[in-house]
Amino acid sequence: MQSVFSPRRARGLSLIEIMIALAIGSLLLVGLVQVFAASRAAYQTSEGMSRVQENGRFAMEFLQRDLRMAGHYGCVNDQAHMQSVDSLDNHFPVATGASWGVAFPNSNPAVGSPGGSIRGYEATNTEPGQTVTLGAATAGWTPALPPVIAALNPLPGSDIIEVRYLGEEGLPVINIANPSAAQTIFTVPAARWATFNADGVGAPTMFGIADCSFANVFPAAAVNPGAGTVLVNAFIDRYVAQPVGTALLHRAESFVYYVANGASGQPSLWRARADVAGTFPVGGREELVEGIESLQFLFGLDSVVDITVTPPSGFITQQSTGAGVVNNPMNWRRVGMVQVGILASSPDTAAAAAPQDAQRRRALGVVFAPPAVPDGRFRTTYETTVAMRNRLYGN
Amino acid sequence: MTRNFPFGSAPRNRQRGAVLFVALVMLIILALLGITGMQIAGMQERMSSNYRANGLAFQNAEGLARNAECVLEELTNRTGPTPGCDALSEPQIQRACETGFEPGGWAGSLNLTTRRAVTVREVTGCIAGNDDIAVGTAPINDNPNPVYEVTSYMTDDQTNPAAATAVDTIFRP
Repeated sequence: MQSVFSPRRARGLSLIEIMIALAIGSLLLVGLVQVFAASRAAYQTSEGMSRVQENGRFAMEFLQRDLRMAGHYGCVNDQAHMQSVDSLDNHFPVATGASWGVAFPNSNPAVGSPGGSIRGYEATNTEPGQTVTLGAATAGWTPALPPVIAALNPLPGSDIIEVRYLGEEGLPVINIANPSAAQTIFTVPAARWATFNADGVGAPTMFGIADCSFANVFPAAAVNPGAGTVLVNAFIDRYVAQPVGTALLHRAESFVYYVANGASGQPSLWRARADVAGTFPVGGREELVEGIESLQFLFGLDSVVDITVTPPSGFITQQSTGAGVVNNPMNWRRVGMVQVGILASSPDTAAAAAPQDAQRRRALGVVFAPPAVPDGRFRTTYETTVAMRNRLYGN
Repeated sequence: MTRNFPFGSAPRNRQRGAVLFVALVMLIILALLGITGMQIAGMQERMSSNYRANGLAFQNAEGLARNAECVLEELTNRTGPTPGCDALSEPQIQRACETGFEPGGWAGSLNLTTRRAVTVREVTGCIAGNDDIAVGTAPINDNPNPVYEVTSYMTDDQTNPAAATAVDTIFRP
């Protein structure tokens, strides 16, 4: 019997057969590659879209949280404190460009304070209606950046905002002592000291004490977490310890939000925390969200124009960019609402075509033109309106 | 004749190939892929539900504070009961401000089983000050209405809570 697979019966393929097989095979292969390429592009686009969406959501979450707290000085906000001399005392040296991080408000006009609870820096050529070309934005901000903020290397074409407030959670002051005529020691429950270490602040140095009448913001000369004490080189005797009084000790916060290059080389949203010297040390700079290419802010101003004569009404009637507010520095005290716009781009290329002129992304009226060399990133904008919860006193 | 078994029961030494092995390995790879995918999806689900729970708890606490403010407004203006404004009744308002109440400690003493709590105290008595002897020259505030501190605590879900938020706010009717 002969086997079916006997070598004698193997004949091989002719050239024609091979050519036809190759032609059909390569045709199928090209089709397959096409299908794979299309599905890869679709995957990249949906991946880019979801990354952009989650980045935008996180950026908004951080910004909303801190903007809502701006102006929080305990029981009464900074606007109300500023109505009466000495209601809000600031024990920091008067802030200069080299110590701008500690530009907390001060209600004593004789001492004065150039800063405040909120302040924006409007990037040049980013007024509503203007166009910013990504990667080629005009440098400069209005007002000019203080040297300590310029040292953060913020990217042009993106607004910058600074906020100052007393931290969300205060600890009850259970003892107040004056060891000398120029010193005060506040004691809080040591078991709850961890409240002051929230958000990764290992060694808090800036504090504020407040009750429903007064507030004092000061640098700590020494802290002792084990005993729950904070030493201040100032004589502060106008508070009554709990439970008779209502004084709470808070950590004082001073932040700058800006856009700068992140670890990946892409623009990212950054937050810098000021230290007690008023600078923004490298250790206090955090890259919060990658792929945020631009921040835009509009400020809502109270209907009361001269807030030094008439208390604010809480009725927001005017909208302005940071550059518009700065025409009269007093206007920063009128801010009761902030509109935020962000431009988020995907961290990786997402097979997105450069948008046509009519379909360019816009945030708060600012138009973003694609980079000169298309980079295939997916981009979109998000906008939100934040009521400055603590300044809307009485509602 | 003993050598030719085209179909059916071939002797053991005639079996060759590794179809079963390859199929099993493929199956394991696919199962691993599936399990990884499931884990990723589960993690994403947990992350987003955590986000949702936090947001809900915050909005609920804000709503409860607003509800208490509605009650206070009614009491101050002596207007009729508004449907839904039921966060507290008048006897629950602490009329003395120097009670040692402190929002951080209060919220810290509660846990998820509390689900919903609100404290209202009148802080009018603690706001005295900031006046001078020339009373009447520049009234800072001639509003006779009291000022309240409203502190609310609420979870995201009343039956199966996962997150809680406390909101402390000053309210002037």
